[in-house]
Amino acid sequence: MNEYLSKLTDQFSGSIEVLPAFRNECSWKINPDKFIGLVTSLRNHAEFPFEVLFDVTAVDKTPVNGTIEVVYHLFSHKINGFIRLKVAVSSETPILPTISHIWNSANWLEREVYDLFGVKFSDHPDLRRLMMPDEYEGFPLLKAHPLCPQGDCNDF
Amino acid sequence: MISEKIPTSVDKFKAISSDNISVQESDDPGDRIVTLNMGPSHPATHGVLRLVLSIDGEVITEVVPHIGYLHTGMEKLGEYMSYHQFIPITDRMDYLAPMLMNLGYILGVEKLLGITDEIPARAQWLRVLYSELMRISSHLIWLGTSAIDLGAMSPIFYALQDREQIMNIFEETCGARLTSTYFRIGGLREDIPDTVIPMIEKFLKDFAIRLDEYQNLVTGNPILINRLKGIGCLSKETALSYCCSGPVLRASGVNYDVRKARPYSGYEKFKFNIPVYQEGDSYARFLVRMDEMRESATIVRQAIDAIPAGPVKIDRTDIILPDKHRTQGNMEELINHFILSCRGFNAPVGEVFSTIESSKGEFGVYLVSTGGEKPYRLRVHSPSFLNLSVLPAISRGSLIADIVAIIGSLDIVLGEIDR
Repeated sequence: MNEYLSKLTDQFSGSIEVLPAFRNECSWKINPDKFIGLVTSLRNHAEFPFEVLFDVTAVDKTPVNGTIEVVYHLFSHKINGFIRLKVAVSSETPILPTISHIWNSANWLEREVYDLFGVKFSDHPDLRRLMMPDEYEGFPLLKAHPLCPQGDCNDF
Repeated sequence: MISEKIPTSVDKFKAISSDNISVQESDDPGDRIVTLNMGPSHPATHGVLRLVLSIDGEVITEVVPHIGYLHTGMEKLGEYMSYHQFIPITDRMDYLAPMLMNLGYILGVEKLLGITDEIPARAQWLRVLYSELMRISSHLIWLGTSAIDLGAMSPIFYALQDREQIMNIFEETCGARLTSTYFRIGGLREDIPDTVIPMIEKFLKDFAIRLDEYQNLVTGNPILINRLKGIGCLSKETALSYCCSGPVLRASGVNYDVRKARPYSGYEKFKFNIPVYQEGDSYARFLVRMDEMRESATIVRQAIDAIPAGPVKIDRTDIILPDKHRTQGNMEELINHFILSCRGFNAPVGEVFSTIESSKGEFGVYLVSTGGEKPYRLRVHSPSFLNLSVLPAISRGSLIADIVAIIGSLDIVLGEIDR
């Protein structure tokens, strides 16, 4: 598995920043402007196509450096392993291009990230709240959002 | 003398409506679409799932699932709890297979701590044994409830009887039937009692007969075959693009099971087959689960035949609570006991992603640690979530009665989807 991933790392070394491996897991950091080009070439890779977008989630790093890190896990059956892509967007204007036209699974996964983190995905076909009620204000998984509801429980 | 025809209610309605309403057949298909709400409290949606169906006559033109009725913010809660404290929360995700949820989370934490290779063989072996019993139990509930959705009342009574035996095994092992919390970070809570092995032996003996009965009663039933065959067809490409996993993916012709692809917890020591079907319809998904129960029973058989001896906990009292007598006789372990109980252990800085094959599909956790006793971010990847997201794509053009069959064949659990 690792020799495949190091091959890929060499191939895309111009557009990525390889993060130090922890527990043998491969993580790349990508600039938002190079993101769509990179995932498209990973999806249509001649040797190791990443057929599956396994997971999209985010980590709120606003208290650390004022960004929200959107984390993608891609899976390739050929490699039999995951690759982790991290794209940092600023907490004030969290916008990323959608990848739901490349993988259908991105549709709901991006909706969930929008619902819980407030990251907007431009050109998403159906960017509505998924878990929380439509009229809910705020984004629960942000670090600034309190764990317990504030105020009267009937208003919550 | 011929009596005058008594007007029926239909005649009355016609008389009224012809005066007030003009009913015209429209050629525009948009005018014929009716919106129908199904759920959230509907027995055939397996939990609190709400579907908004657009129907043209009996044919479904669009399905919009609405989820989130069981959203309890488990990922948020995880950021405020120590690693050990979160284990009981995982029970509440897929409440039909709590031990598999425990295992998925615990393997993630063990990977974060770097102790995956140090888990004692006996603990790993028993984890496999209980995971497979859990898988059978989860599939039995699926068998009974999806058969009820199709109008067959009797299979659930048989299925619940078999499941009752498994629940009794769990109760004998750890005292809890459903929310077991038996697996711990670093091993198991305690060793199994001696009385459990005869119970599992008896269950396997009964279940072998029952599997043949299910084969005759349900699988070969012509009504069931007619209801399921060719319904909700999911192609291999669509399944991969929607990231379907588990039986849903294997029914579409993809031979992928985490237990074989990247064995965890010692699955490489067991011999079993991965059932794969090419058709991708509801019946193929049905057959995959029926075959999986048989394979799981063979794994349980192999597991109880050769349980290795030894401890069931890692020898690290800073990670897992030591036995009582050690705590009371050793100062350092008393300190560790105190720290673990009131604060929890410190995890190294780093992030891991770890997946297992749950009964619904590939279940994963993504843990981000910045040091300290609580995770900075705890992400739970739910297989049912993505298996449900394919529903609109595969149910367009089918009948209303078929959507009930399709939901049953996807085998979703809303507790895990909403988290």
